Parts: sequence; structure tokens; C-alpha cells
Amino acid sequence: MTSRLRRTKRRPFAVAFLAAFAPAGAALAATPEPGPLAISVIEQWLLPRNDALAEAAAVQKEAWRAACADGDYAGDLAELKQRYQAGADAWAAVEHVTTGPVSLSLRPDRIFFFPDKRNAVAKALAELEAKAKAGEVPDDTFRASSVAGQGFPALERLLYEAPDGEPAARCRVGVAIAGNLATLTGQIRDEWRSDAGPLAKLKAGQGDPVHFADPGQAAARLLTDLAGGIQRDVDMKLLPVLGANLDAARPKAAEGWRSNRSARALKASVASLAAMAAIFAKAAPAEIAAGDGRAFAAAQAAVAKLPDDVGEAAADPKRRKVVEQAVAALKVAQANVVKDVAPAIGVPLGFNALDGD
Amino acid sequence: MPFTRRAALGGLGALTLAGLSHSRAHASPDAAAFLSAARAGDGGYRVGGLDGALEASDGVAVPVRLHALSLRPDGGEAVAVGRRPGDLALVLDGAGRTTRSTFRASPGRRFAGHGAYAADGRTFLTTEIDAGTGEGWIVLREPAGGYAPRAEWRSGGIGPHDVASLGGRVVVANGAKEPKTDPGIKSLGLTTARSNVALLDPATGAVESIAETDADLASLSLRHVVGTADGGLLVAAQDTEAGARDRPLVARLESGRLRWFDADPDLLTRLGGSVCSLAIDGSGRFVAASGPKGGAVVAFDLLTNAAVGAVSIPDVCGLASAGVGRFIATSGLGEVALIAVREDGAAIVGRRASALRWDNHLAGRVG
Repeated sequence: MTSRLRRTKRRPFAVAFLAAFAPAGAALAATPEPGPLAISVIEQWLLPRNDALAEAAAVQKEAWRAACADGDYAGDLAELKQRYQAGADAWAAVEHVTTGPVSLSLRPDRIFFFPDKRNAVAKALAELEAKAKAGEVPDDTFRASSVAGQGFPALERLLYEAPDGEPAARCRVGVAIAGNLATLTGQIRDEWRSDAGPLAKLKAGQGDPVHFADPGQAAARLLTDLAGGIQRDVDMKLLPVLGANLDAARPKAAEGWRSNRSARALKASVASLAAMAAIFAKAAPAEIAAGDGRAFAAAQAAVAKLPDDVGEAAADPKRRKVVEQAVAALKVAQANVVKDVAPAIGVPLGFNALDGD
Repeated sequence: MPFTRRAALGGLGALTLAGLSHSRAHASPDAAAFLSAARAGDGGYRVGGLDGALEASDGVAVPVRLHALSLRPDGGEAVAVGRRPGDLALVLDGAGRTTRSTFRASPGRRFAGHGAYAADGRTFLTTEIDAGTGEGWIVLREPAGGYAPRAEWRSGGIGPHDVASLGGRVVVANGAKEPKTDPGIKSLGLTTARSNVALLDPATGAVESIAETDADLASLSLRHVVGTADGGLLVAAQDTEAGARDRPLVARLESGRLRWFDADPDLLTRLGGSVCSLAIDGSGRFVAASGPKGGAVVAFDLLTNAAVGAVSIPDVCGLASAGVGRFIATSGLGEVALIAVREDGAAIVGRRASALRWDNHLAGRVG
């Protein structure tokens, strides 16, 4: 047995938010079947996004391979950065999902280690570069290394920080990371679609021994992922940057500030959350669905106003309000999911997380 | 090969808990293996049971939200002390199917959801909080006399939560503070008192030792205690600072001091800054901590004091031993998970959905 799990890092914030108990008996008469509802969300929302992520990662992998054919990617930076941005956008669309194959083997941490409070990405990358000086990093060695160095944030350092070290070693590391991302995202895509996978089980009206006990659980977990996803954007990407007040703002706590992605990542995330919410809302009465549409449209509009330098804006008295308004609008959207949509479609959200006991 | 859920499934297969049928023979024949407070599909409060195959069964419907259940050592009776800030406790049959009687907190005080039988079952301890000042009391009650108070002691701190009778001592987690006051006890939302674990003499109530949080961990509220196989004590905390999730949350009591587990800090953050329950497995080697805010259970190896792995279970709180290297976890989404833990990882090896949604703690008959 390896001690790999001991070395690896965390799922940063799996599902922080779990909602208030649905009012008793709300709209029970008209609630949809949870199995077909979960299937709709998976087929219409999740699978296309998994496919897009795997495709973007595959393209990125080939781009790194081509760029490093001559042992130095310096001449191909523009192309690689573009591939990076596309791949990270695709991940932002599904990063809040904790249900299904993504939950295995610390895949979310391997793909995108965040937040990185202890500079784990830089340390992991330095270790990988040291190993790569001698030649290719074997797959086993790479997979057993710290998860912080295995995904997008490590690639971001290679692409956006001033080059430091041997070009050939950095190339080998970049190729290994890009290859790892293509492998992981391909696995997630394929395992969902597998004949023995969780979607097939769901379609047969069954639970899955690993991912959800029954179709009702699948719907509840996906809805919890939605509510948790909004919370994740607020708690991990906005509140730490804002701090308790202007003096406590922390610009460098923003996600993706090196690659100027702080606002872009949030926009991609919220657009995807809105699309996911719309599928759940479609199963609710028309007025509930309309309210959901309005709440998410407002959240997207508020996030659209974020400047690229979200972190700097949080520390700027003139611009801080825009960041605060995005938080407020996201909270309204989250309340809509919890208080209106969940009871209307009869899908439970938990309550232990709220209680503080 | 790493210890993944898939690998665990391949190696472990069946969900039924080995050895459970034997242990159940000691309890009343129809008793569930595990009991918990729960909420039914209609939102009503009730007690729920779980059998060895993780199948849920309805227990008695109850008028108030419960928190933890305490089983009398002989399994013939159970007490559910009302959740903070309630003042009602229910005495149930050992299977949680009927209410035998009720009792109240002392005037001007509130329960904190926890109580404990002394090992001989002849005394029941409740934690009580002065509604005005937050001061803590341990009230000794007579099960044979309608759970009437026989004596009361100072708990050694503010806002006591969990209490246990362990290793010849009464152990109290004085939580001191809570992150919100509604619906809570106002004084606990305002206090600057440090949280502590107090050890009391079981004969006199005299405070033998108090282990307080250090200044850098002053935002922690120590809430739950569990005894280890070798007579030690573990305590779990929740961080009352909003959003904080990088402080340690599980400690061992050593020579009157809190020795925080030197676990991988990044694994620890999966708990989301709050531990809801602790449980020790049947071997005594592993302790599991549930983090509802992080939606995860993190397992620690007591030989190394290191976190060995984590599994994702949204809204988890309830935890109980299910044998050697095995835990049962329950969630507010109605999920029941069987978790396998080894020195190199943790994995969910079985899960069931139930119509009941599990509210806070799980009490088990098997260890």
C-alpha cells in the first residue's frame, strides 16, 4: 500500500452549504419524480459540460506536447495561455459538483487545487521540476506527488510567472500536468457514461453503491451541489477577498489573479449554476420557475459587473461595492434555490450543517 | 494500491455488518442497532432506528426537536434530552418506539441536547445551562425515580454541551460560546469565556482539572467528547469564527492539556471548521469526525495522531462504530453510509437512503 492519500490534499470545500428544512408538506401533491429529475440534470446539464471539459483538456494536452517538441515552450506561450483559459473555464462550469465519479480519488483537488493558503502549489511544482531535471517524470511518480502540483493552478504558474529554471524540465512538468488533466477529465466523462455507471443505474431506477443510495438521493445531492456551488463562489472566491472590512481586504486571496481569471472564473461558474438551476426550476410551478430565472439573471448581471481585478477592487474604496453587490445577488439566488425551488419540487436539503451543534 | 472507494467495494462487498447479529442478541430482540433523532417526510420530529443492514425504521413521534439519545447500559431504556435551548427530555423504551415519561430542566435552565448514564445505569447526568448567565451545571438524576434531580454540580465552565461518564470520571465539554444566538441562549452568543473540557470527581463533583483552549484557538467551542479504548479522552470542537476552517478541531486530553491532532491541515479543512460527532471504531485504533459544514467525515489513526483519509457525505453529523475499522454515518439528507477506515485511507463501502432525515447524533449498541 502506498501512503498516497496521506500525501494528498483536500477537497477544499466540498459542500459547505446545506439548507433550511423545507416547509412541511409544501407542494407535495405536484412534486416530480426525483429519478427522472436527476437524469434530466445529468443528461442536459452535467454530461455536456463534462464532455466540454474533457475536450478542452485533450486539446490543451496536445498543445503542450507540440509546444515542447523543441524542449522549450517559451515561443508558444500565447497559444498555451489560450488553452489554459479555455480549460479552466470548462472546469469552472462543473467545479461545484461533488456527486458522482468526480468525488473519487481526490479528483477535484488534482484538477484544481484551491484555495492554496500554504503555498502548496509552489512547493509541489518545485518538487516536480526537480524530479524532471533528470528526464520524463514517470506517471506513477507524478500521481504519487502532491495533488497541489497536478492541475490547473500549477500550470498557471508555469504560464504566467516569470520563467525560472531549466526550460526542458519545465516543459516535462507542463506536459505531465496537461496529460494528467486530460486523463482525469476523460475518466470523469467516461465513468458517468459507462454502462455500469451511476447514470445507467439511475435510468434503471436503482441507486449506486458508491455515489447515491437511490434516485431520490441523486436528486437531493445534485440540488445540494447547486446550493453549495453558489455558497462556494461566495465563501471561497469573494468573502476571503473582501475580508471583514476595507482594511482587511486580501487581493491575493482571489482565485486566478496570476492569469487575470478572477472575474472570468466567477462568470463561468455563475452562468453554469444558472443553467443547472433552470433545469430544477422547470420541474416547479411556473411562478416559482420565473422567480428562479429572475434571481439567477440578477446574480449573473451582478457578477458581470466585476472588474477583471476582483482582488484589487475589493481593496479599493471606490470599487469595493461592486464586489459586495455580487455577494448579495448570489445570496439571493441561493435563497431562491433553498426556500422556493427545493420545497416546490419536493427535493430535500439537509440541516445539520446549519445548526452549529 | 491506494485505498479508494472502488477498491474498498471490491474487497468488502456486502453491506451487512459482520458480528452485529451476535451483539444484538444482548439487546431486546426487536431493538434497532442504532438510534437517532430524525425528521420524517412531513417535517415532524421523531426517533429513528437503523438495523444491521442499515435499513431505517420509524421510532416514536416526539413533540420537540431532539439532539442526542443516550442508551442505558442494559439497553432497556433510552433518554433523549431536548436540543438547546429546549427544556424537555423524553424517556423512551430501549428501541425508541414509545415514550415512557418526560422530565424537565431545572427552573431557569436549558438543556443542551446531551445526557449520559453512569456505567451502572443508576444515575443519569444532564448538562444544563443557566438561561441568563450561561453558567453550566451537571444535574444528577435518578432513573429509578422518574429522573428526578438528586444533586447538581458546577460544570466547570460556561455553556456545557456534551457530558460523559468515562474512566471513573465525569467529563464535560463546556462549549462556552455559540456562533449565533437565535434560537439559542443569548449569553452564549456574547461571552468571551474560553471553552474547556472539565473532569469532575464522580462522587463529589469536585473539579479535578480543566483544559482550556489557548489564545490562538479562542474561537473554538469544544462540544463533544469520546473515550478511547486505553482510557484516554478525545474532544471535538467547532470554530465559531465564520468561515474559518484551518484551525485544528480534534484533540486528545493529555495531562490536563489539549493536544491537538497534528493532522494534515489540508485534510482537516474538509471538515469545514466544525465537528459534529466523534466515534471510535471497534478496534479502538481509529476515530472518525463528522463535519456537516464541510460535508465530510475525516478519519484519524490514534497510533499516529494523523488524519488518514476523508469521505464526502453532505450534511453528515451522526457517527457510530460499526465494528473493526467501520463506522456508520448519517446525514440530514437521509443518507446512511458505511465507512471503512484503514491506516492508509477511508472509503464509503455502502450506502442507503432513508425517508427519515437524520438529525445530529447517532447512538449505537455495538462497539
